[in-house]
Amino acid sequence: MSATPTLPRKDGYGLRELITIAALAGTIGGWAGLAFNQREEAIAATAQVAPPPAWVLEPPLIPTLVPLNIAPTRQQAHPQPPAPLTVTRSSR
Amino acid sequence: MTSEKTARLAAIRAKNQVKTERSGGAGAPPASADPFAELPPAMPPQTLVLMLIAMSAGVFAAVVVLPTWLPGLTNSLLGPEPKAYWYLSRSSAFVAYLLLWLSMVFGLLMTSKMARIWPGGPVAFDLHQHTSLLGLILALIHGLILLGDRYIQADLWQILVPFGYSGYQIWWVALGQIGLYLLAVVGLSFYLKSRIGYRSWRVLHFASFVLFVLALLHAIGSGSDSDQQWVQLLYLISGGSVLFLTIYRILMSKNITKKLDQRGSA
Repeated sequence: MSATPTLPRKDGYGLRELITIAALAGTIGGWAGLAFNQREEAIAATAQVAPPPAWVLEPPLIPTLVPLNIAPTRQQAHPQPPAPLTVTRSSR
Repeated sequence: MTSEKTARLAAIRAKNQVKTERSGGAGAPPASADPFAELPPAMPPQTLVLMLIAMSAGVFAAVVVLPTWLPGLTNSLLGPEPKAYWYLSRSSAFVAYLLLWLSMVFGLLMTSKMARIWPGGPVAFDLHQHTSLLGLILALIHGLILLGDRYIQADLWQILVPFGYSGYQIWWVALGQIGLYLLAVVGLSFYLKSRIGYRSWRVLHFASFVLFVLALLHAIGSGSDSDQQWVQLLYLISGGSVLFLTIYRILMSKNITKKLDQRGSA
């Protein structure tokens, strides 16, 4: 027998245990959630900070809304061929 | 001879008065006034001590043991910018606040007799104590886990002493520190009820309203997530519900007093 008597259990639903488990799960889950959110934020920040590839800044091969007769030739628009496209997490 | 009798009588009276005061005395309520007055603490002191030891062991493991034993895991905990302690502190703060809110709700449900509808008086009393003590433990974790955070670089003194940490929102942080001590006093007073008397315990228990307001202000003022909509909604619902139940409790007790007066005059 315990020295200090405790209240006889009358709830029958284990509310104390439920609250305790929910509190622990909430603490651990909150930690995991914040860590996951931080990871997503870091990925988004990397995507914003990283400069776009050089070929993105160049004019398109055939500019739209420009008459075809004055459009630059492929040779004029791109004296050098564009850099190969690399697929990264940020560009997806 | 008469003076000797008078002295003996005075000594007996003084002895009886001391006995009365020790057993709760004049502050002890009549049995019918409050059915919860004589109930023992919900959580035995041994359990509370065990939980505090477990908490200390957990903090010790997180701060000292893990960095030594598990270099792979501690990379994320003690890397150039370790965030784990900060995240744990934030999540435990939310849980501690929610437990404190639950404790307030169960206490007010109990005293306003609304607990008769759900979950029943004794169960509400039991949960009221349990949530407040669990909230106290999580509030301690919320503060002490910050010892591992390198960005804040707070020591034990700065964490435990109000106005001790000046690196961030000194006033809002201090409100939380004061609230923690009030929570400790109110929560642990369950174990001292028979010693300090029912009336003193009751007066001390009114501090729970102050500490809830302090915790809410601390959360709003210094919480990193206070600008988020769901967090603001959480504060609004929790604070609003406690306010509503408090007003209901006051109105109900006034109504009972009025009825008793009417009966007395009739």
